[in-house]
Order: sequence, then C-alpha cells, then structure tokens
Amino acid sequence: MSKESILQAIRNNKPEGIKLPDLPISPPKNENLLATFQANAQTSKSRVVLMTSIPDLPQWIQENYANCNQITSTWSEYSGNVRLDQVEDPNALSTLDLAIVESPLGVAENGAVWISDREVPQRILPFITQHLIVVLDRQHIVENMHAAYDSLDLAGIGFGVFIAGPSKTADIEQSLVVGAQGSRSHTVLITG
Amino acid sequence: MNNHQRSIDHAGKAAKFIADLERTDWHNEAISFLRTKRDAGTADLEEWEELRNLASQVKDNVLSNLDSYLLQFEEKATANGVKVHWAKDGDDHNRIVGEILTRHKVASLVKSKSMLTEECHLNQYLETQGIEVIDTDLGERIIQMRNEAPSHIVAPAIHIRKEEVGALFHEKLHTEAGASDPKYLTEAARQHLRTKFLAADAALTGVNFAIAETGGVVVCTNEGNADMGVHMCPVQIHSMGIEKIVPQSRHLGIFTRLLARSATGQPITIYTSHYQKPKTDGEMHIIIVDNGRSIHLGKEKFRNALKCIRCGACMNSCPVYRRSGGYSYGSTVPGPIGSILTPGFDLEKFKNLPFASSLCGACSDVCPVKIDIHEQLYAWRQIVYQEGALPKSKSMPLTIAGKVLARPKLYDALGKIMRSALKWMPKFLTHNRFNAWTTGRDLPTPPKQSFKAWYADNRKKN
Ligand code: SF4
Repeated sequence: MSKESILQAIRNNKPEGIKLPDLPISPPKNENLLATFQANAQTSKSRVVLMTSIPDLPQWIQENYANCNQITSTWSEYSGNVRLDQVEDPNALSTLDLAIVESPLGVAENGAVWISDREVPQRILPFITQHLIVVLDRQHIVENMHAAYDSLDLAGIGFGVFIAGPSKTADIEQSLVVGAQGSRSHTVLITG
Repeated sequence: MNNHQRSIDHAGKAAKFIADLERTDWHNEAISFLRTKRDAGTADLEEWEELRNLASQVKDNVLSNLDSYLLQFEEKATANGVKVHWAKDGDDHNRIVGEILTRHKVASLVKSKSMLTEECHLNQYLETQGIEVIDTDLGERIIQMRNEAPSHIVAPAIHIRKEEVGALFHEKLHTEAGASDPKYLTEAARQHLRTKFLAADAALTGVNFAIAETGGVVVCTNEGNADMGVHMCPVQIHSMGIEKIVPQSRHLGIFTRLLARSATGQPITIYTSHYQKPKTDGEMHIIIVDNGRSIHLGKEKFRNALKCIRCGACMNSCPVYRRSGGYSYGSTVPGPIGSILTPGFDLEKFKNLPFASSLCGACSDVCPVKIDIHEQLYAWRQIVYQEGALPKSKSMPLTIAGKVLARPKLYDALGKIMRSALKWMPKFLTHNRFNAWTTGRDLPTPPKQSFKAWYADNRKKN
C-alpha cells in the first residue's frame, strides 16, 4: 500500500515536534475600509460603484451593459431574464452575458469579494458569465485576509472563491490583458 | 564524456542561451520586471517580515507533523465525499489518474497549472492512453502547442516573444498572419479554450494549499481557468504533493497574503478557489503524491526546501537564472529552488545545479517562507565535492587550494610568485578554455604586495 509506506517514510524522517506559532491578532487599524477596498479593487481593474450614486438601477444596467442580452441575478433587487433554477447543465450558461450575485464578505487590503455555493449554487456562474456584478454591503468589508478567514466557515461549504477582479493574464510578453478565461469585467456594487 | 554524461550541463546550456546577447538582455529584463513588481507589492506592508516568519514557522510545524496532518486531511476529505488516493511516485500518480479517466470514459481532460503533473510527465502518459490533454493556462497552452516544458513556474512562457506566439497561433488557431498584439492573441485563445472547456469530460488542477482541518484544497489563478474546468466537468481531480498541507483555514490568511505579492506583486491572485466537496452528481478526487519528498524530509540540512510555496521570487531575483533561462537547469522546477531540490532526488543528474549560482543570497532575501536557499546551495556543493562527483576542472584546483591553504609558508611563497607572474604572463595562459572564470571577465590587476606584508609595513609606520 502506497499510503502506509509514505506515512512510514514520513515518520522515520520528519523532524522533532515543532509547535504552531501564535497568530498575532491584528487589531483593526484602518479607519476607512471602504476607501481602501475601492483603491485596491481598482488596481486589479475592478470597478467599484456606490448604490447611492445610481438613481435607477434597471436604467443603469441598460446603459452600462447595453450589449448584454442574457442576464441572470441572484439579488432580490433585480431580476434578469435567465432563471437559474431551470439550469441543470452548466454548459447551458455558456451564452450568459451578465450575472449579478451577492457577496457576504469583502477584503479591504486586496479588493477581493467572497462568493460560495451558499450564495450561488451554480458554481460555474461567476466564471462563465461574460460580465459580473457583485453586490456587497459596505458593513461587510474586513481589513485583511486574516480577518476574512476568521469570519469564514470553510467546513460548511462545498465551494467558495475570493474574486479580486476580472479574469486576466500577462502570459504573452507580460502585457496585461483583461478577459482571459473568466469574466471580462468585474463590478462591485456597494450597498448600505 | 565518461560518468558525467548523465548530468545536466548547466554551464554548457547557459553558454548557448547567452550566445544570443540581445535575447539574453530581453529575458533578463522580462524576469527583472517581475522582481520589481514584487518589491513594489511588498513595500508598504509593515508586517511583511512578520508574515514571512509566521509562514516559515507554520511550515516547520507542518513538516514535523506531516503524517498526522495528512491523515486528518484524508479523514475530513473523505467525510466531505471526496475520494482520496495516495501515490508513492509519478508512475503511481499517472496510473491513478488514468484509471479514474478510463472508468468515466473520458476522451478529453482540461488541466490547469500543476508543476507536480509536469514532474510526473502526466500529459505524455495520458496521450499514450489515447486521452486528449488540454493545458488551459494561457502560457501553458502556448508551450504545449510548441511541445515545450515550462521555463518558469509562475510564467511558463516568459521566454517566448509575442511575434512567436502570433506565428504559433496563426498556424494552430488561424489568427491573422503577422498579428502579435497580446490582446488579440489572448482573445483568440479565450475563444479556443472555451470550446475545449465545453467539450471536456474531466478537469485536473494542481494544489496550492491543502487544509488538514477541513479536508479542502485551495487553487490560485489569475485567469480563472481552474474553475472553468472544474465546474464544467462532472469529474474533478486535484493532484498535490504531500508538503502542500496547512494546518487550519486561518493559516491561509498568511499564505494568501504572501504568495501573489511574492510572485507578481499583486495583493492576491484574481481567483483563490476553495474546493471542499464534490458538486451535485459530480465526483471529486484528490491524489496525494510523495515522489521522493518523504526521503528529502530526512535530509536535515535540506528538508526545509519542502516549505516552498512555488512563488517564483527566488528565480526572478537570481542573476544566473535571469541570464541562463529556465531550460538550462534541465529540471521541472528551475532556478535557485530547483537547484537545492533536485540534487536530493538525483545527485548525479543534478550535481551541477548548486554551482549555477553566485551565492549572492538574493533568493533567500525574498523567499516568503524563509528557506535558506543560498546556504543550501553551498552545502550541496560540499556534498558534490565529498561524493567525488565534481568535474576535474573544479575538483583539481580545489584540492590544490586545500593543500596550499593548509601550509601558510607555501601560501606566502606562491602569492609572491603569482603577484609578479600575473604581470608578465601572456594572456593565453590565464584566459583559456580550462579557466571558465576568465570567459567574459578579466583578472584583477595584481597588488604590489600581499595584505600580510602591507599590514606589517603599516604597523611599523604607525
Ligand atoms: S523557494 Fe521561496 S522564493 Fe523560491 S519559489 Fe519557493 S517559496 Fe518562492
């Protein structure tokens, strides 16, 4: 059995017990988490928009996503024209133009938002859609990744992802190109 | 060439690489750019050094409890509905993947970046089984189309110019002849890869971190290609080395903060994906691979090379890597970290790699998990010497130097001779093919007197 022989080799060769270090508890030092979130998200080519700056949501979506025909939304404030409960095969979402989803957690230090299969049961959704809008309550922004993991319960989910911007690559001569395999644009809509 | 035939001739390969001076400069600049971005991305983080210390300590703890963490990981993953497999080497790993794919009658596999599967030569194995393998990271797709291996662990196609990608895509994807705009080429690859994602039956990814506490694995990408594959296909497979363990999810806070900043200067990769359980009606497999790692763990001086999180910062900082290219190392993982890992797996084959360094220590300075890379390079040199595996051009002078240095009188006398000799000796005696040191460099002007004599004189004066 490979398992037993691997474990035995590890036992024979591993160093003496070394203790886990205490993780320093980082005290909240940031006064303006939203401003930090905005600045860092923009560096990763995300767009951050305050809900308070949008007088009429349907109109705003029409103006900003004029070419998007197939739209789905898991957010109660907006309903698209593609119903997710009718989608069984992820391939059926391959023509999706815009997805609007909610996130329970944003991270100021890197502009990332958390999305798990609790919020979005169709795991492929935030990746396969051409454009993504993530709705985030400003009260749900934490300082850094330590605080983020402290507030998550990974054991309770099937899949979860931090998304920090639109899909991108720099694999051809290090030129940054947005829209590699995942979404071409990434907008965070701040509520609250 | 006798018994050195099997070993990678780094210097020889590097010599070929730098024969094209213009390209060498371009390569050096391209890699230096990554290092510059890393410096900018880490500069304003006050707690950077504290994070490096913590990461190093957590990994020390992991190595000293690796057996129990792996068992805990397996137990949790199994409870999550994941099928866990153990592979003692690359062949074992490939066979397990092959069996899973055959059982599901998989014709096409989409794969995201995994240095481990490169190390196991998985693609070649599956192709002999008649299974199509599509590498989906753009850089990896490019080198796959060129039948090449990655030359860098983070930026696998960094050695290729955009005009060459344009020509390749023109041939393979029918893009316009002569087109070399990265945006246009990336869009062509996006369209091409989307059809592959839709057609694939199974997806395989590497693993950045495996959480003992929850039984889940974490994969970091910028393109989203791992997720496009994993969520589109009914079967998902994650291949991980035994050393990828982190104890608890809260430790991910440390490593996710270090990884992307060290690699490209980004505060985090665009996607940090946590796979805990299979999707509805889907199957999820995790393959835990040893392939020599447990033996490496027993080498006290060298074991902490297993702490590596594959950020690439050491190679981006290495003046030798930057000017010799990834292929000169002849190993899956090149650069400083490759040079301290590989001799542990096959000393004869990789004995020259510890010498592919100026021992400047830039690698150790940037390593986010604080591996003492340059000290290990030096320690490997000693082992290569002790094992008598050193080529004559290095071992002979060292033996002579050892004898001379052990006899102070002889050293003084020889010093005197050399100081005058170097002045009148014709250049062909010092600059010849037996002395690689003088290729591209000149010897220093010999001083008028030895330090010892100078010291004695000055003592008298004062
Ligand atoms: S050795 Fe350190 S710097 Fe080099 S790739 Fe590994 S983690 Fe990064």
